[in-house]
Amino acid sequence: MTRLGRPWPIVIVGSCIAVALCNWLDVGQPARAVVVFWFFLTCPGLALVGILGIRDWLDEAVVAIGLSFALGTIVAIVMVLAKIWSPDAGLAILIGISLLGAVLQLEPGRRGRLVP
Amino acid sequence: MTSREPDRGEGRAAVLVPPGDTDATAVLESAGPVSRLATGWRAILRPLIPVVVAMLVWALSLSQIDIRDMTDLGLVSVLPLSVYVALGILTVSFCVTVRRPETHWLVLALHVIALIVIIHGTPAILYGTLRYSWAWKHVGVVDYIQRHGSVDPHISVLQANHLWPGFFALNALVTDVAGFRSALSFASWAPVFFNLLFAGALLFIFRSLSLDRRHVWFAVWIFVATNWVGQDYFSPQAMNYFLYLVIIGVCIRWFRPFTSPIALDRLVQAVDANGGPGGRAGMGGRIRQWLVPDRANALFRRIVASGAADPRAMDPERRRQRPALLMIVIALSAVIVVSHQLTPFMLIFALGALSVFYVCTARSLPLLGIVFTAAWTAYMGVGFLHGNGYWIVESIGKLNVGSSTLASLTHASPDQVFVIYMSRGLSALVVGLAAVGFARRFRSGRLDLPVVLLALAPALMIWGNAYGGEILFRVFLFALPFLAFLAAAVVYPSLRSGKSRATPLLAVGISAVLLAGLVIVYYGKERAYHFSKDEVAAANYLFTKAPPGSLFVDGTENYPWAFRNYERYRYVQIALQPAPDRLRILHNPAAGVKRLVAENGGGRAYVIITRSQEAETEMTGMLLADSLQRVSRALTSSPGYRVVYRGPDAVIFALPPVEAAS
Repeated sequence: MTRLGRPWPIVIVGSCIAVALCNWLDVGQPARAVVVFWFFLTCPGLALVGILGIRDWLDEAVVAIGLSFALGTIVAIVMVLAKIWSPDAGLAILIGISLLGAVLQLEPGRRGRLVP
Repeated sequence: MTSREPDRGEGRAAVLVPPGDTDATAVLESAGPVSRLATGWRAILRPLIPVVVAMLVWALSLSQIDIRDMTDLGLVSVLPLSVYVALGILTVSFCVTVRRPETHWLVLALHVIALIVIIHGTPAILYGTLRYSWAWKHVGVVDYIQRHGSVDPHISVLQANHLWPGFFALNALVTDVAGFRSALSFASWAPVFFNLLFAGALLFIFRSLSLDRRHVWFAVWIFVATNWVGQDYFSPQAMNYFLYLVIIGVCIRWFRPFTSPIALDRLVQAVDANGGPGGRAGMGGRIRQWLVPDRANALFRRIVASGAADPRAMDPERRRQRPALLMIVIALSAVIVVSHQLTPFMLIFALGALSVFYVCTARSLPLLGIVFTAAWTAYMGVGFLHGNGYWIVESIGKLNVGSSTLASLTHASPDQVFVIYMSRGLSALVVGLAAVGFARRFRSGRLDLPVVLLALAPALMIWGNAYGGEILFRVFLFALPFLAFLAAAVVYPSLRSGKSRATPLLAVGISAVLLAGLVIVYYGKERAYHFSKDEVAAANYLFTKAPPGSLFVDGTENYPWAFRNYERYRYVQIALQPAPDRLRILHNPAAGVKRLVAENGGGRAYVIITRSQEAETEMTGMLLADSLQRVSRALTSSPGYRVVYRGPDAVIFALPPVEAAS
């Protein structure tokens, strides 16, 4: 089991795989929209906020959604201003951030420190 | 010092309760043992029966509604009684269940979700098209980024959206990755989506401000029942409002100074020394000592000492999390700055107020907000300031309350005048309830300093900018969460109160009045905000078939406007012409429109007249009733105009190329 007994890293890794498959296999609607919205709304933020060990799930969820908005916006706006627009690259960056956060949540030293 | 868990149903954040905090002790006692809380499925499902009944009644009501019968009173003029019955069932059920200590949080959450779905889902389901013309424009900016992969800071139409493009860039990315051709596929549900986010963020904030969960949930309920301003559509301000609430929540949950007998003494000493909470004599303190008279300074010290601190800030886990959360707040602030013009200023004022009164220990955040805003304006917004700087500078320091939006009662239809007065009345009622709630909290020994500061800080913007005549509405919107928190204290001022049998009646009465006001005010402009499928088809024809460079002449922009390929065309509105030109067009539409086209660069032109344009001009009094119908009839019989699209709600005329006027 993961930090505080929560399955976030598994959820995040699963969501990353699902959104990547939906995008590259061109999965139809509405499944693709559901997976993509879920990913953009929660995964990048939850991956990083999950490292902090916030115990209250509502606090964690609200901050995670806010951070997901922020990360998605930052990635998108950098591509817009640099005129290097590529939805695939933007998605890949966000998947990378999410996986990095998920791995950090699983890291043994961190887990040992956070789990009471 | 004792360590207990006050709200077992909602989370397990340990709270350190200082000795003598009678309210905190009382809540721990009232929470009772875990076994008293409803945890079984039956205990959760039983109180949900009224919610299910309300949703069923509402869902069955929708088929009885014919939106074509809508009058200037808006959607309320066609809602059947059963919709109000559904709202009534939900309200009574919520007000009864919220005061029961054994009620599971999920039950309360589902009540709030149901209210949001009923209020904001009704237009989305009934119309089947995107509501509100500004939402269509925002879809158009997303479409621009999808096609160009960039923004154009020098574009003449919707320039501000290109200069603050954060929200549009994010949505272009999401739309592309989701495989949609346009953000139209999901934008209709933005009000439901954003209001759910707002409710979650408010729970996050309010739980830091009160240990009484009845008070917390009732405050969220009041917010949903009074959020009439309508900035929850597909827009950057909706996203930024959520981010604003998250930042405020983080600041007052993680960055409050802690208190204890020793720490409180230290805080007072620090303020006495006019320095920060750490006791350092800061520049701000020295300036205040120099500027502020002794009596005012003493009052300031008392306010800070009595209202700034939060014992939960002593939690070592929270203190360990602070550096990372500060980084998150900085990231969110940066996104707010690049996404909307107004929200950064609201954030700076709010964080500034919290910092000045030592409620937030991250006192560099307002300064950082100023630096971000100045840097972004210097990088992207200079072009905007060239064109708009005069009125921005002109409105600084003025009391910007005599706005065009508030003053437009003279020509509005009687129903619209009623709706406008209702909006003022609803706002005044919320402020009045908040004042009573504040007084009740104060009498029970609570100052609620952060709440008061956050309710008052947005008002500073009244002296900063008129914001196109909307500043009062925006100030109300940003103050509303904290006004709702204080208003909820009318029923639940302290943990020891609100236990009489009259309490649910009072809560139901307040909710009923507020909800009645909300449905009148929030739905009051739906006759103009709603676009039929025929209007959408006409606009789709125009924005896909017209050759690039064409001039679109319309009554107003109030139709599905600029949602696709919008930068390829030029636009001019009949209703916005100077009065003599307007009269000339209405007197002789065929000649008047041709001259209008010639004066706007000539070339190929199209005239589009829709039902929603007529509705807007009639409701607001921009044009006399039937004016656009008369234009449409005159153009139909004019030989120079060819009808290229005609439907029940829209007509499009094509003109042969017109030579530009010299």
